[in-house]
Amino acid sequence: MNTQQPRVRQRSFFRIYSRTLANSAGVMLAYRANLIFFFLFESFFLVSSFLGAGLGVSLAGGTINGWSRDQIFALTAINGVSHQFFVCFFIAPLFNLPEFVWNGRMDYVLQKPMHPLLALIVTSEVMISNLPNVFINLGLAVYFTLKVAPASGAQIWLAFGFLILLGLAVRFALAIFCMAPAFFAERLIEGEDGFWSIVGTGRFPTSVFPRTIQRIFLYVIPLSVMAAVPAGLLFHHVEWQQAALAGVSACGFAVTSLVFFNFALRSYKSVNSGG
Amino acid sequence: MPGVFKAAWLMMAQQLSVQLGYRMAFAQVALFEALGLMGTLFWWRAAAASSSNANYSTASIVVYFIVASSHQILQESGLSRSLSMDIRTGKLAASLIRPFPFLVQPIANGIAFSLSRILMIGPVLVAIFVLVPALRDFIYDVATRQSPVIWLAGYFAALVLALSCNLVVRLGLGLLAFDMTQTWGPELLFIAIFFAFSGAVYPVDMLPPVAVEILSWTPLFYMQGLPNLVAIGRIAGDPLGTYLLRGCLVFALSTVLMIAMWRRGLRKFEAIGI
Repeated sequence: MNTQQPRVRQRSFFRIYSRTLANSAGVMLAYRANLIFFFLFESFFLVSSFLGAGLGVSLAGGTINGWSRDQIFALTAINGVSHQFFVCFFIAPLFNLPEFVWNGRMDYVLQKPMHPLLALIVTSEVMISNLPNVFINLGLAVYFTLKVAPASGAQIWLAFGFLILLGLAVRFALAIFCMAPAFFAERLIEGEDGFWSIVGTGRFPTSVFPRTIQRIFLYVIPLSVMAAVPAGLLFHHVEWQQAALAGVSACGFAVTSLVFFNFALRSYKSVNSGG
Repeated sequence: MPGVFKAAWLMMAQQLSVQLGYRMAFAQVALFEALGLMGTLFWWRAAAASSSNANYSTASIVVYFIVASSHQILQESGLSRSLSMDIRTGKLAASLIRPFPFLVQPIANGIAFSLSRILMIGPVLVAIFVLVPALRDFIYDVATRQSPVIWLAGYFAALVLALSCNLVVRLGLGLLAFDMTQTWGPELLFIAIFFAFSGAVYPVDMLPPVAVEILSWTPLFYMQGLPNLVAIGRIAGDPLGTYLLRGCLVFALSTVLMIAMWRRGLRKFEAIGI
């Protein structure tokens, strides 16, 4: 009985999630203006990211702390892929959390036969409007990476891919840390702004920060794993050992965020969590 | 007319007390803005430190982004969203019967928001510029290069123009609710264009001169670029006068457009909303 239950849960998760995907696509396609606005919005943000990066390198005279212009562009695009992927699939479940707490919809989430985080994912919209920008960023990342990456063995590329996935987990974990306080107090409503303020830090090479902050971003709150560490490993700006330690710390950060979510969830009192 | 000013003053005072009432939200905003600024500051500091280009010193680039971030804090009032909601939900109907122009209310809200933010970030800015010697020396140098009074007057004029342009643009975005179900799409688009071209994420005068010239005919340049560049002394004297005049013209045209949108919208408006 116990051994079969997880399979049932997994199957129902995928079944519900595929319905959510279809539903989200239908909603998004019904409001075609949203698709266009989101596409333009994200495209202009891409322009501002590349302008900021490119003008910074121009001011520096071609390289910043050993990173060339194309390497910086590759880093910006790699961060963009991770960011857009996060927005597509995880932004709605996590950023709607405070609203679910205020209006009691969390009650329904808790009744689903799976972990509340998974239930949030299956009951929330998928932002398919951001999919075009996932591919635009992916194209830019592939172009700049192949242009400037030195010849590397398969193990470097594997580590690069693994670190990118860990970076996505860090992004997800950071969002949990920013949004889950809504379980404690309704007025902790600035979590979304906090997330956007903090998450942008991951798009800069770690070496631009003072040494103490570098260590914090590598091993304590591993924001650099989101893009700077994988790109740095590929372009030989980050040592193997450093990348491995940052990867371990990213795993720890992700697990801690889940523990924090479960802990915060205990303060949920249905409809109004007080505070 | 004095009654209008009295009402506006009362609304502003009330909004100010509301803003200051949520101290925890305030503290969160301050903390998060500081965290967001940190990455940008270190990135540009590293760029200026590696540079042999005398155009931007490390201190000037750091001050640029501190003031840019401060100006942004003053301008994020949520004004367009609340105005849009008032129109969509019909709340506007209740406000229209008051004996003063409806737009006095959102304008008073916007001014109260900016004042409350000045109270919040003003002491932090003063502390930064007093306690960090490199920044203090830089500001002292900028102020004494012309005359402290002229520099402050120029900066104050650029800041007032920035806040005025921001107010009109945000109101214009909110007024789109007369024609659209969801105004957050255009608002998001505006925010993205604002970040790309206003000078919020890079010093706008690093763009080619032609691009700066084109941007100076839009409100974007006056919302961020001009006050930031005046604050670090990169625009002063005659060019500043020219930009302020042009900025006033851009502001006046934007206001005319916004009032036209308002009047056109009112003709379509019904008591239960749009």
